Amino acid sequence: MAQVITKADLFAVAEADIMAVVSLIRLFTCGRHQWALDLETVGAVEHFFAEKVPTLSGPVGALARKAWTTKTAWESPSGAAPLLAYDVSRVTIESALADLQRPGVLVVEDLVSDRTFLNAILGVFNEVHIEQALNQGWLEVCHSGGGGRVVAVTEDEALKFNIIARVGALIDSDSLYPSHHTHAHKAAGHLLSIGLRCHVLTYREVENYIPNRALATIRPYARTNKRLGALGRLNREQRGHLDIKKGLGRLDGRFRRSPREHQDLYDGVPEDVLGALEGGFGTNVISCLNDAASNMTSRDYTSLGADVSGELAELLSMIRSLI
Amino acid sequence: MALSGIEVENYKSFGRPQRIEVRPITVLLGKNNAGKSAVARLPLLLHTGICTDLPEPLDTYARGVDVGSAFTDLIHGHSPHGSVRFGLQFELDEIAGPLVLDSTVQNVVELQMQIVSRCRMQAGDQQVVFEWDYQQAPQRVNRYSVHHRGEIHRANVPFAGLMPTGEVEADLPKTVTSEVAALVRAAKHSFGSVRYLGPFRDRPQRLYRMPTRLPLEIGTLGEDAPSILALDHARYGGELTAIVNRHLRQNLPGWQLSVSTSSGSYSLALTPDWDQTQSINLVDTGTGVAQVLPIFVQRAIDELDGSASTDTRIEIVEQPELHLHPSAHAQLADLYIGASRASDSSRFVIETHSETFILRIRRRIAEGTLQPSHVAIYFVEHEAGESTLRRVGLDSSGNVDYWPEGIFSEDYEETKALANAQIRTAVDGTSNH
Repeated sequence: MAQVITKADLFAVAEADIMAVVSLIRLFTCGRHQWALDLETVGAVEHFFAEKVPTLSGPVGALARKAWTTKTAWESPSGAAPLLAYDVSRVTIESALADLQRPGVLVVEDLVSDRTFLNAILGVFNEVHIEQALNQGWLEVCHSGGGGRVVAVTEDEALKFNIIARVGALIDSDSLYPSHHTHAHKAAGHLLSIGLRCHVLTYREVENYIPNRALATIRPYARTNKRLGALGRLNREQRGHLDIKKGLGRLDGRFRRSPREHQDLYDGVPEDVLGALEGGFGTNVISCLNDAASNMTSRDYTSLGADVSGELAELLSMIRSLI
Repeated sequence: MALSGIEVENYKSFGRPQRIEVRPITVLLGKNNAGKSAVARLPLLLHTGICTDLPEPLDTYARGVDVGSAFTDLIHGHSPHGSVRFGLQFELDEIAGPLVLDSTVQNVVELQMQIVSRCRMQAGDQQVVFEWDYQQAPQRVNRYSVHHRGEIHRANVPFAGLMPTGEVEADLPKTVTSEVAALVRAAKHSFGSVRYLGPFRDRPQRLYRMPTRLPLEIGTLGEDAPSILALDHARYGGELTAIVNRHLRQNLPGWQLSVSTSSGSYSLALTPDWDQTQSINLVDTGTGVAQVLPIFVQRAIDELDGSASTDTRIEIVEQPELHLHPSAHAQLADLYIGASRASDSSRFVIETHSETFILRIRRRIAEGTLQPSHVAIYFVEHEAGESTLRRVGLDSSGNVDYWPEGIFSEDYEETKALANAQIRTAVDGTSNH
């Protein structure tokens, strides 16, 4: 959600903009955006509504006072999510209102797989704000059709906003080893430089963030168990940059293709482990999250890597700022 | 000399190691069933393991406060073969550096008992580690390897609670036993006493029987506070009652507490200043007054007792704000701030749900009348069966460095929903009716 900063001057709008102010306030009362105001503005709000819209004077005055109290007393630098700050003044009210009433947009590469991944982590990390925003249409997930199109689609969505675009992107890194700098990192750099938001996954793609507990539900179980056993013998980086869908594969039916493109990531991995991972968990592996996510906890993600929970918290925080 | 830190591992809902700094005022916050009381009652539980002569490591039902019906209730996940680690740190005056005691209590199903399987005691460069030799059980259940200054001794070591008894053992060198004895004495002395006032308070009675003996404490339910007031009235001229009334007036201006005695019984009543012939029995007054009375009585006792300022003590209070109007919560915070200032060696551990209580502490820090280092605020968080303790740091302006989203902003959320409904009705002419 955006943190909408209103100063006292907003409440000196012309008669024609009174309903715009009321509409803005309604974005706070329904929980869509967060109201940030100082003590001087609290007085201006009370005065404005008492004079112009007396029927709303009581509830809006009480809300302004509580908003100020809560912000002053119980907001801390590390506790609050980094919200997108949005200044609204008497001059910008019309354009700002149009922006704030428009849904925020998260651009993803593939709507089906990325939405399944998102649904899983929203449940596990109890992200009720984002779930509510998706249900209410305050946030939309937009399909770009592949990593190569993410930048163009994200820029196009941003053009629909007047002042500040609440648009961000989630991109697979496609990195084959930990320090691998890919097209995804370049795209992210560009989006951030033009004021948009972006998260590049640390691991290769969303499938690398499927916990073993979910993978274990894939049939046939005998084959899955064999692959899970091998997966368990990889370290976290090796698992994180593996092609979970297709596995290590073969070049010509005899040789694995992976060792060189992954540089030295799989050096020293026993042959029986590499052999068991020649095949992957299937191109539709992400769908295993549909049933398994309800039984998962944050520990399942911690088991993928000590920093994974922290990374997902950052991703969710970015998405929250788009609402 | 005082307890300055507690560490637990595998204790109740806290699986991973958790450390709590014990400050003059330590406040515990958290949602219901998060594990606050398990932390708040730790000093009470640990007191049974330090200030004891009994061989059992701990008593889970000290003073009628139920910390667990059996030792396995203390073990994370209730594992019958599990253990719990307790660490204590004391700040000492005499010895350089803190005194550290770290004991692991193992549940031994086969023996139907608990054994201290590892105990480390350290102060300065003195360190002794006891490791239980389980292979000698059950014949020699007290057999330990004793690590001391690079040497390992095998000896029978009787324990009292979480520590060795400190008595001289024939099969240990005298240097070891004398060091252990000194460490044990220091730990017992530094722990001092523990008071506990729980979240359930005794209901007032219309008439009480006059006691013949002055109770030593107000009781875990505050049940002895009336008797203390009655004997103060009968024997000491109501000095204590006068202090209680001073506290009461801040919360309930215009009223004072009075004690009436008649032939072996007494009653407590509130009398209005404007008509002192009126007397309303405490049973017939608002619940809040009766509930807060034990707190005022305890504070009054300490004010009158000269030794209270030097005694080493931990006072645990669960929900002091019980049944009180929020406006009185701030006064309670001031009461504890004042009490902690009056005694360097007292520590107050307060579990609360009160926003106003915390705000008053922060305000006093911002006003410069309370040092941030005087206070430790902990948030007990619970997720997926695992509790954790998170310290909320305070700066010199009373700002918090962390605050969980949604905590103490509940009234804002309610106000938003109320305003939303009212605006919908006023603007759109629609409602849910």
